[in-house]
Amino acid sequence: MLLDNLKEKYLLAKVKSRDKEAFAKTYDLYVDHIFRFIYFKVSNKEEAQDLTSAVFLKAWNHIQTKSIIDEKSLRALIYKIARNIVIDYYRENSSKKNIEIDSEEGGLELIDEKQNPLKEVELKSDLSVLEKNITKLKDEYREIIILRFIEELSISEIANILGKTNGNVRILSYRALRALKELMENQEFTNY
Amino acid sequence: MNEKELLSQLHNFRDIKPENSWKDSNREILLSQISNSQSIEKVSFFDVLKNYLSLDFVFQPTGVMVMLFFVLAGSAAASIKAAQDTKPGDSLYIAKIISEKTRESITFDENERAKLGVEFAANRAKEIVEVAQDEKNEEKKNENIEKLTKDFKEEVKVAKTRISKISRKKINDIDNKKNNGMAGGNGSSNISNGSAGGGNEDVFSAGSGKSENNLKISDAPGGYSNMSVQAIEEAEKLFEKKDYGGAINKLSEAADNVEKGLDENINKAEVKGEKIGTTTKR
Repeated sequence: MLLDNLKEKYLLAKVKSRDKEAFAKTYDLYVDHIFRFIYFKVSNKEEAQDLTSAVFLKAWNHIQTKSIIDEKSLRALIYKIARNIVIDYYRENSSKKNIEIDSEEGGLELIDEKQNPLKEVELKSDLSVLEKNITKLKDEYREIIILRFIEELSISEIANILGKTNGNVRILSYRALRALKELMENQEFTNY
Repeated sequence: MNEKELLSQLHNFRDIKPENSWKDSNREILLSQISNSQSIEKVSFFDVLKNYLSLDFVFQPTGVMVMLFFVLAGSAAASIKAAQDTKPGDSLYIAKIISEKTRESITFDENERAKLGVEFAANRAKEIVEVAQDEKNEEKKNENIEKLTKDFKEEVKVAKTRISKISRKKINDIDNKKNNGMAGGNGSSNISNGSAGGGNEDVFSAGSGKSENNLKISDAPGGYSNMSVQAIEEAEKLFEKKDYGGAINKLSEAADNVEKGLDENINKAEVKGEKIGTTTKR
């Protein structure tokens, strides 16, 4: 953990010194996470790709121009930027507030070659329901579900990204999970 | 669906990834966008440390001095602590002696200084026991014991002088207050016990330490000082008989009495604070 933090700090310092390779490494390290984070917030693959790209460009400019002394981690910094970019995106496109997730055809393919076809279909169906239910959650809960239970970030990292206390994040995590569980149970009940 | 299943399914979403082709092309685009501003600066270990610690001040001259002070103070404190149980011949013994001298030189209260003297004398006695037990080389052992005996006597002498000085000072103070009280009083009033730290009982303290009013020795001002001196003298006798354990116990008793004398002074000062300037009638 300490070593990871040090490596991350080293990377941050290298990016700060305008090292292109360090930036490429940062991109490789976080692009999947940031894309996923944005995808669950905007529910559209193309939009998520554009916004992800914007996040990294903004991160580069931010690191070059602002003091990074207060940043506890590079990852937290990039998530914060991603979060702000999504907020700006919704501000500019307020009509798209309740976007439905991509249709079955346009949706994302889960990359897992080990699954057998039947199981894959079942899993895909379950995940599709879950994905839809995640988008039904209020923004605050959705954000926590993504960061805590999908990305598996620590409580303190999430607290840093969201600007909340550790205690708040713990409570929000519990409530968000309970809300999602209720939605899933209601879905099951409706299906029967 | 239970919570475990839900968490497991959520975990599966980690497989959602953008297409590799998009990732590669986007990376190229990003790198070309940032390349205009590229000029690599060397990143030193201190840059990383600076970011990691998130403390600007440590790189300022004041910060460095503060850190240096703490490092040195910390090392010194650790050395002194480690040196507490050393004896002559140990590498840290000199640190112990320096620490004792330093404590003595920065202590200004006479009672505290007297207590330190007793404590240091006890230290010498302890060291003799340790040297006698641990030192294999007879010649070195005798040499160290001889030196420690000399130091012990010196410390005891100093402690006794200090305690006697304190005792004399107390008696003089009491006499002065008594005289002032009689001169400045209304004639009909007696200075009673507890008034201005003096009173009838003070008379007895100046002598043998015995009280004609059946007061205990320790009740009289300076009584604890006398008891301390007595304990030190007994310790000296035991030391001469090579009963170092007994000497250490007696010195410990002497130190306790000095401590009690210190408390006594504080209590008297409090009483004095309340009643000074007034004469109490029986």
